[in-house]
Amino acid sequence: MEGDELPFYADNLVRMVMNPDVTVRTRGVIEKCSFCIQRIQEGKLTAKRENRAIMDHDVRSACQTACPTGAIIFGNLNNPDSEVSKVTKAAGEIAFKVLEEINVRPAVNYSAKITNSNEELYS
Amino acid sequence: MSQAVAPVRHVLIEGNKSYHNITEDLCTPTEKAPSREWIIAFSIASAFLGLYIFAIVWTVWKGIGSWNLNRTVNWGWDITNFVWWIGIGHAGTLISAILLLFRQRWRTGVNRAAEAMTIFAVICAGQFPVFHMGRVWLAFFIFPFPNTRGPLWVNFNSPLLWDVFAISTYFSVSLLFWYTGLVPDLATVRDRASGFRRKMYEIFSFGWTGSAKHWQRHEALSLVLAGISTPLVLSVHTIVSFDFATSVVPGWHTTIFPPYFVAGAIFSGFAMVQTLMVITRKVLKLEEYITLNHIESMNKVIVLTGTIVGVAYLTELFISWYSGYIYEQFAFYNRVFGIYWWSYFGMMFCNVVSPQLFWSRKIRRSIWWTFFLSIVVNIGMWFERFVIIATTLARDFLPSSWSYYSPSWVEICIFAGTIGLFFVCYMIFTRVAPVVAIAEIKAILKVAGDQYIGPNATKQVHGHSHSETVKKDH
Repeated sequence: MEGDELPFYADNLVRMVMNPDVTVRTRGVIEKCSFCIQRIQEGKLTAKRENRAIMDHDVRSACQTACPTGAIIFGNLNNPDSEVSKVTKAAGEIAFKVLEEINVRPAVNYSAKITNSNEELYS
Repeated sequence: MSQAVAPVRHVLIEGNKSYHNITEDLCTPTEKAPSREWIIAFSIASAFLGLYIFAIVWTVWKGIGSWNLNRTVNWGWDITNFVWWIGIGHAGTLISAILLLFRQRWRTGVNRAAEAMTIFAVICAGQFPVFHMGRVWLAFFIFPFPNTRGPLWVNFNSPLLWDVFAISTYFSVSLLFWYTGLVPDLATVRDRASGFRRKMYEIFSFGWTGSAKHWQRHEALSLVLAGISTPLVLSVHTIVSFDFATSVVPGWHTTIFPPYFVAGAIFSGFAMVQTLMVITRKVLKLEEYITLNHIESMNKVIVLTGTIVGVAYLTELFISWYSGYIYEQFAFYNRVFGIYWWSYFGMMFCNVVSPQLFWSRKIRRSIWWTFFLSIVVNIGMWFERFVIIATTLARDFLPSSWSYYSPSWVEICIFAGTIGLFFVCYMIFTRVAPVVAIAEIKAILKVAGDQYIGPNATKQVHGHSHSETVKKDH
């Protein structure tokens, strides 16, 4: 059979089982945020087809596209050139990460906005 | 006198038994019609088992939401009960493996029943994590095997997976060890039985004939299994404690957990052995095999392990203060004076204060005190697990997620039901197999030599038979 030559996990049955476009819940039932795994999968495939590394525009999460003020940025933290890396880096020490002090290293960072309320310090 | 005189050894089996008496006494309970007390007790246990089945069906049908677990306290009575039952099992393994290595020959009086207790306790323990999974028909997902779930694979970094291996190894080794010991005894019962009963025992004794070769293989296998069981006494509860200790939650994230859990497990296990033995020896009239000396020895283990557990509690408190780490300090302040303060004081009283009564020889050798305190210790050890799990989770790092937990009726019924499951298994066991290892206990009949010298000495030189029960020995 043709499927036998495919590597384990890549045969047609598993591909159908693992289809991220099919929700695991019935309509109206909420699922834990998967960071839009179906969009990530699609973006990865696009990048793979074009034989390049995944880039920011390949994957945009649903919440990101829905946010009118662009407050949500989604991307690859391992890529130093991605927007999310830059924003996180710019926020630096004051970016808030939940339970950072016990080193749980969450993937969600909250950038704090810095406002200077002391006008005398303007130079 | 420069001559070294060995002290007289204590009699391990009382009542001046012969080998034949032992076979008679220990096989009879499996051959007689059940007593009225047994039927009443069995009916009650079965009713609780029915309650268990009902509550489990309810859980599976309605979903895990029928338990009162919430977002913050996601382990409640279920894991409390799991750890409690697993802990109880440890006494059987300790008696059969560690006491064997320490040459404590009195263990033969209680090892069979204690190992049976281990097996039934592990069965009860296993119910909780399995049904806590919610979609129980997918429970086999916990095993690593080739599957069509794609890259979804068990997480070898997770102590919960180590638990799967620890518990399943523990169960299979205990079961094999127990059954290996049972084979010669089942053959003894078979030789006395007839008809259908004989047929069944023939199957279950694997054609044992008692030939020298059989005994040799039996001994070799028993030794190997004892060797495997020995580290299990320490490893199983160590891994159970890793479920907590490898997390980052203050109150759980401590290196004291493994030794403290193991001591607690042995402590609660011996308490449960006492509860069972006090009843079993009375109901099956085995007072001469499970003697007051056995009870006293086990009470000594209880006072030792209870004190170790007490030291561990105090060490935890001291270290949380000494660490200077405010989250740790809060966790323990909360444990003692927080929302579940009553369970902490219940635990302290039942586990640390009450076993100290066993320093008194009179109390150690009192059946009523032993029975009462063994129940108290079992309650205390349940509280301990509840304290560790519920108080810690309810007040975690994020005050925004703090909550309170109390069980739903389903959870209470499941717990009460597993006690029924346990006693149904145990009571069936007392009816089908000798509760004291016949073959093993015969080996300690003459350790004191009182058949040959002193007031118990028999007239005949070979000293097998006695006045009333003179029968053919073979």
